[in-house]
Amino acid sequence: MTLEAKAPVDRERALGAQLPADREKVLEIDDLRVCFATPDGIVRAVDGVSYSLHAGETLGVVGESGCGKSVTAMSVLRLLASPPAVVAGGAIRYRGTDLLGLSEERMRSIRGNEISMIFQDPMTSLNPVLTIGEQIGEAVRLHQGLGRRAARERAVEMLALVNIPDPRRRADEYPHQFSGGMRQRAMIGLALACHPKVLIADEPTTALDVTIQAQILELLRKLEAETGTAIMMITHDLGVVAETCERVVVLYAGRKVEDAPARRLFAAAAHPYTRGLLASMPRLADGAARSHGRLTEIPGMVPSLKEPVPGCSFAPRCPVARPRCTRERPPLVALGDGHSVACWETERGA
Amino acid sequence: MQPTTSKERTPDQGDAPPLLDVRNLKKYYGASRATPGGARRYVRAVDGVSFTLERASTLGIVGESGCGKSTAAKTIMRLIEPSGGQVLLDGVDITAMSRRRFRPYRQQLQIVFQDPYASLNPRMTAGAIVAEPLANYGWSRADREARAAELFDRVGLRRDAMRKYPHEFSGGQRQRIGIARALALDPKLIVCDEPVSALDVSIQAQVVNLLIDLQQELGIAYLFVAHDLAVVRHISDRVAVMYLGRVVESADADRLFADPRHPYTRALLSAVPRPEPGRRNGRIVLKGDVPSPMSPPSGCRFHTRCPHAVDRCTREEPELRDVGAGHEVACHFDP
Amino acid sequence: MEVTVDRLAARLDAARRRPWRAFVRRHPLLAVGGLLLVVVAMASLAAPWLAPYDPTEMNALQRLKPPSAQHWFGTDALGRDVFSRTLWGGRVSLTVGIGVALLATSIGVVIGLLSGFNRWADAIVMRVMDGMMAIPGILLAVALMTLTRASIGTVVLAITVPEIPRVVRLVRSLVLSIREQPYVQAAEAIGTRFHAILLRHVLPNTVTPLIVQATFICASAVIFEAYLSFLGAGTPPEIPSWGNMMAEGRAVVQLAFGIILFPGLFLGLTVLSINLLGDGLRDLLDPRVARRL
Repeated sequence: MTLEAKAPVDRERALGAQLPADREKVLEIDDLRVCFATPDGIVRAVDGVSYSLHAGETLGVVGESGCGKSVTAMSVLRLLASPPAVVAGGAIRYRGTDLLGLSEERMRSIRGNEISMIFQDPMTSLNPVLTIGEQIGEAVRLHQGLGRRAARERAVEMLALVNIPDPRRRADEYPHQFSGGMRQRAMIGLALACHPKVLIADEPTTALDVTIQAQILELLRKLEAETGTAIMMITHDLGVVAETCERVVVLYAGRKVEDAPARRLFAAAAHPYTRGLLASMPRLADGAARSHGRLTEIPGMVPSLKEPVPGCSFAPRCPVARPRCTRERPPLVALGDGHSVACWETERGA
Repeated sequence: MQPTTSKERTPDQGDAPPLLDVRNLKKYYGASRATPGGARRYVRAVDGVSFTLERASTLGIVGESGCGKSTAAKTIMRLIEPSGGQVLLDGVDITAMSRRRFRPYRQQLQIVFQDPYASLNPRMTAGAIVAEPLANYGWSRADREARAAELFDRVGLRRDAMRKYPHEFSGGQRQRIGIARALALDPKLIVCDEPVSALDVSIQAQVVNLLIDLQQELGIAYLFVAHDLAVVRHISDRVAVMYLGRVVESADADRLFADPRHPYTRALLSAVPRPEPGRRNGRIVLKGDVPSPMSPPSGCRFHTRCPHAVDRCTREEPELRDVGAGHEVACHFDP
Repeated sequence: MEVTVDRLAARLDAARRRPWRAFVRRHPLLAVGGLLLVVVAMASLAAPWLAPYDPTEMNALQRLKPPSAQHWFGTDALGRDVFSRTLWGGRVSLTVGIGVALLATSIGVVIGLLSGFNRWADAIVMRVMDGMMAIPGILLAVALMTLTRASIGTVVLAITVPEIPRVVRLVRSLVLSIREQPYVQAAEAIGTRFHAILLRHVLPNTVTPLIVQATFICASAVIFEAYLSFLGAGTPPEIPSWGNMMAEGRAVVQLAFGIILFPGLFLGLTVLSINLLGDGLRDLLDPRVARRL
């Protein structure tokens, strides 16, 4: 079965009129709660997070360390080791079916087949003793029952799709013979081999040089236009988000604080944390004079996830916090145009 | 050595030599022979790097992995022994000095490392870590304790944290401890080897601000090695771009970012993802991968990926030329 | 299985209130091994008081008696009380075990440090270690014993020699990896002299794996001593040790197998407990092993 050849389509033109939110919800995370049992206490890594991924869209999930973005992603595919991780509540629906309730066998048929994942470090995510062709072939033979020869053909096809030159020869090579950028492409090829509906990319370019990162991001954009796979891009780099994502979800200390279309987020972020993050990034503004002064800081540190926080988790560091913020956890408020935020202050038009 | 307090250091004027003058620095590693009895292959990690650094200013060195920036920085400090070239600190040639003669000069050249987790000895308390350099240079116990406490204040850490162990601190706090340690001997130059790359964005801003404040208060010069161009732009007075062991372009920070001349610099700048949606057009995407430092391409090292390469580029390696106002470029063209 | 957050919290509270229970639950190997070893060690240490008879006291009338109220483990071919001899034998085993562990570790650390820091020394040392490891330890120990008069001291020395290469290899590989750590480079940058780097930065970070290795050497040495004594090349016969008791018991196994059984049982239990202790320590000290509640 070959990939349907599609001319690279301007994604925005084709799906343009339709807002991402109008399309089918392919993955829905609903009030997810995940805890880790450690000897020092219970760590609430994900504390009631809800967001959705729609067909054919690229969603950015942004946050700093400890915000729960990776844990959420791993929970989708149920890759967390069950002690010490415990899913304490919520649901993760893939096309309507709750993944958390499925049997392990059924999950196996979904992993790599309908929902795929790529990771940060391509060297440790690829088996060093198998050739790339064998690894890609393994996925298709398992999920689609292809024979050896057909599987190899598919492997070569995928390597070509991800722009690896001389794919026929490369399919017989081992991971250590590939450079970092090529390994990441091979991983992407492996992930897409069974034409999944969802691709979860967990910090896919963080470990790569910036010029290689540019190549990979370009590749992801092209693939998304050609194959229509929905991509959940997890990253801490707001620049990457701006370049690739249509919608963005911002997480802080295990909770979602903002959810908006990318353009709106960068133009008019509503949550003080998002604003602080954007303000604290040094900019490569074209042609502008360098500001040698201080960067805007967000004072303090991320709170420990071991203590339950009754109010807003960002309150201790927030420039506009009021007494209510430390007492009551703000709910998500819709601001219109697909933009929602969890902050007491935005209600008051701050 | 007498304990000293910070001195006022003003930017250099006129005839005094630059604080740091690096001339044609080389570091080669001998790799194994490709064939037994064949020619010995070398990794030319740093292959003829030259630049100067003035007092109380910051030189940013950028480049991708394998370009040799970290190696160059450590070689200047003689943490790695140079294979060739000269390093002059305040006019004194420190390159080939015996380790014994060099020891007093070490006080002036300190370093902050990238990994906040591995750069502190897990078995020592934070206070001991910061006081260790003072103990090495003969400070009395009382003076050490006083200075260590002062340093903790200066980097924004609480004094009672001196008794804690590294694992009790966050990444950003550990980096502050590393900075305090580097400040202990009142150095004139601190090499910052990717000091904020391993930190979250919001903590990066705190640490960058701390470094800027310290430079203004104490007049320390920084050799700031990083791959994050935005941070480098923010903190540097001058910037040098390295590729495969050589400097390909060097200029004042404003000039470099406003008017990059070398094709690699341009590609690098255009590759950085900006937090501005809709900016995708006009990006230069380089083809291919970074060549291995063991077998750099002939002629201009960048020619295999350069969109403007011609025949001359495969044969002749370009020298750094001054194209005006202290802006130097190593390229056969001047587009 | 869904474990709710409340149940987890309850378990954590229980652990906090009864720390010993939680400790045993989390580290069963360490707890069991430690307990057994303590029992054996106490029994051996208290041998002069616990043992009902003098272990060398012979009684021609009470030879080869089966276990009874007067002689819990029976008597041997010379009428000596097997229970007393077994208790005293424990002292020999533990002395040898601890002695070898300490000595082999100390010598191994010095050689390993040298090897890790100096390329030339490394080349020579590793070839010597390879050579030593190629000879079966027991043969090496026996050969060494033939050169001297038998005593506990010489037995300790003879067993130490084949155990040294293990420590050297461990220390060497630790040193090689610690040398590359940024905190060691940082120490150089702030002017720390070489000996201070060794003592302040390198050595303290090798302690944890060394402790685990030392416990395994202890277990190995206890068995080695038993082998040597069994072969007649170890502890001199005047001093009761589990090994030479078993050697003597061979001849009369049909009549009184207790002479082999009891020392053998004690030997097995002791070595088992030391090994469990070592495994438990290793898990305790390794931060990567997932800690379950």
